[in-house]
Amino acid sequence: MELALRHSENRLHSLIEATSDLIFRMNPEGTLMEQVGGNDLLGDVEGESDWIEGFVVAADRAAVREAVDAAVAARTPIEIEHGYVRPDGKVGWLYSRAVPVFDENRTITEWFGMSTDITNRRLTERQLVHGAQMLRVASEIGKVGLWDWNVETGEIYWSDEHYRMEGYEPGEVVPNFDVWAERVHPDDRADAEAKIAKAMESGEDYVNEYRVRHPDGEIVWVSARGRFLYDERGQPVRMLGAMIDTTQRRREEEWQKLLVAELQHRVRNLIGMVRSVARLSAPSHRHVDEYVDHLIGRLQAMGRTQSTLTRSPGRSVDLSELVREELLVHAVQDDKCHVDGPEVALSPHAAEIVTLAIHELATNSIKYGALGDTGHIRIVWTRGRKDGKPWVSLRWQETAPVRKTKQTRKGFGRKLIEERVPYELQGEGRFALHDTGVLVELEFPLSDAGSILDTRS
Amino acid sequence: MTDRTLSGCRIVILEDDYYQASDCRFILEQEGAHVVAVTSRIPDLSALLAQGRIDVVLIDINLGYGLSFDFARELKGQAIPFVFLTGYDAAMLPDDLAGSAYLSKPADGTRIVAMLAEMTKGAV
Repeated sequence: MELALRHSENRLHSLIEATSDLIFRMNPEGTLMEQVGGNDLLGDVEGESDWIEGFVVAADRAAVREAVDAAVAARTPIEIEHGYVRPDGKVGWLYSRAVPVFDENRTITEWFGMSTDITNRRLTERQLVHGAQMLRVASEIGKVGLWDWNVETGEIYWSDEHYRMEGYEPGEVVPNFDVWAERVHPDDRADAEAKIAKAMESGEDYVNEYRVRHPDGEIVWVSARGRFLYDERGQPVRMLGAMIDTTQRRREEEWQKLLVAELQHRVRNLIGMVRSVARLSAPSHRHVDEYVDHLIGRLQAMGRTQSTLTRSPGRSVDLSELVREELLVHAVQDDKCHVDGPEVALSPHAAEIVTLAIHELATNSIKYGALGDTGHIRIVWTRGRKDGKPWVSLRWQETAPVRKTKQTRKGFGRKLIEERVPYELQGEGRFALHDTGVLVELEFPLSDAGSILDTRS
Repeated sequence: MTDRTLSGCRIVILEDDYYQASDCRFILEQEGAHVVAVTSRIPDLSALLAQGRIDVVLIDINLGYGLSFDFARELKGQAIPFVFLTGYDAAMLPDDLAGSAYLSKPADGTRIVAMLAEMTKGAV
């Protein structure tokens, strides 16, 4: 019997020595502790000591004391985790468990327990938490949607942003392949599935840009990249991936493409128009100098429309401003003209034509009519409606004592008024030559700009 | 008269710019073409056809208020030849019209006349 007991004691002793944990005992109140074997985690400490003061880090002392007192009062095992000061002075983490030992009166005689150093585990945990936090913050700030697809079970993890990209509230559905596929635009679905299958088979990264259709009909473009992970038999087990919303980028690219095409169209069209204007300006002039002056005057008027449009952000031009500027350019004095009319916003196209018309009329008037003499002009306009559309009617009326020449041929300005206004603005233009001067009436519907840039030319 | 390149050829011009339209008409008439209509808006094709046959249509793609592809498709449906005359690149053409005859603006008169003559060869 005694031999058996000694044998058992020996075995227990060996076990205590072999363990990597610290074996300790404490007084009944749990205030004093003594290392009795195992790994001397606390260093070379002899006899009983106030372990809470001595080894527990200051920040954890109150909580540890409270937990110990509670266990002593309830006579239940103690189980705590806390920071401790290692023999080398560094802070580590301990997981400790102690059980009360009772006498025959059920009074606690001592506590017996063991402590495990869990510093590495705590550090790993902290790194994991830290890493997860970094990932979460980075993916939220970067608006990256993440997924982790367990190929074997079919379970999928989505980050909050991923839910949003798919048009769900975070956590609204349990993600799976079908839930994902349902949101992929029908036209892109087969291709997306094929690309995933190919990536799964080849081991290459999955790279895809496709449309996601939200329940409200909104189309979101996403750029997704993913990678399959395989087990040792080469079977796909997981797929991890990330995606970003590229709707805005694509919109900007489209817009840029459109702008370039539009600009190209405009420049080419403008050259075509200049060439035609040059040709149409030619027949009325016998002298090259005169022809060049006229042509340059017309091109400058066209240029003025462009600069007016660049200044006006709303892409419409105020009629009054246009008329006044054109008169200013031709140095028409205030006392020689009367300008009056309500506020009218012209489309860039209409602005171009009206500018050119005023230019032609002013040039002509300076040369042959009221502005070159003691006469004066009235430029008035009104707004009205015709066929349910808003129209503007503009009248240019000259009053001069005598007109210098009788103009019979249909010149550039007259063609502009009588032919171009109906042709391009679907309006009407009348040109009449009276003894006292020219009377011109322009009428056309007011419409919005049809194109994305200024004039359509 | 008959030795001119486009003699007797009946042509429609769809072009929203008055100057270019007038210029184009002038050039084609110089070559003996009969310009059936010059318009800035998509015309009623059947009304035009009621006045006589159309040998070829010159089409500006951008008419200011929109693109003219539907009209081109209508012409295609009636087997009436057409040429796009435009400042846009050929890449702007939709797939179903991708192979259409195409002249980039600014195109000089000689090129326009040459292409129309080629397209209407044997038709007149």
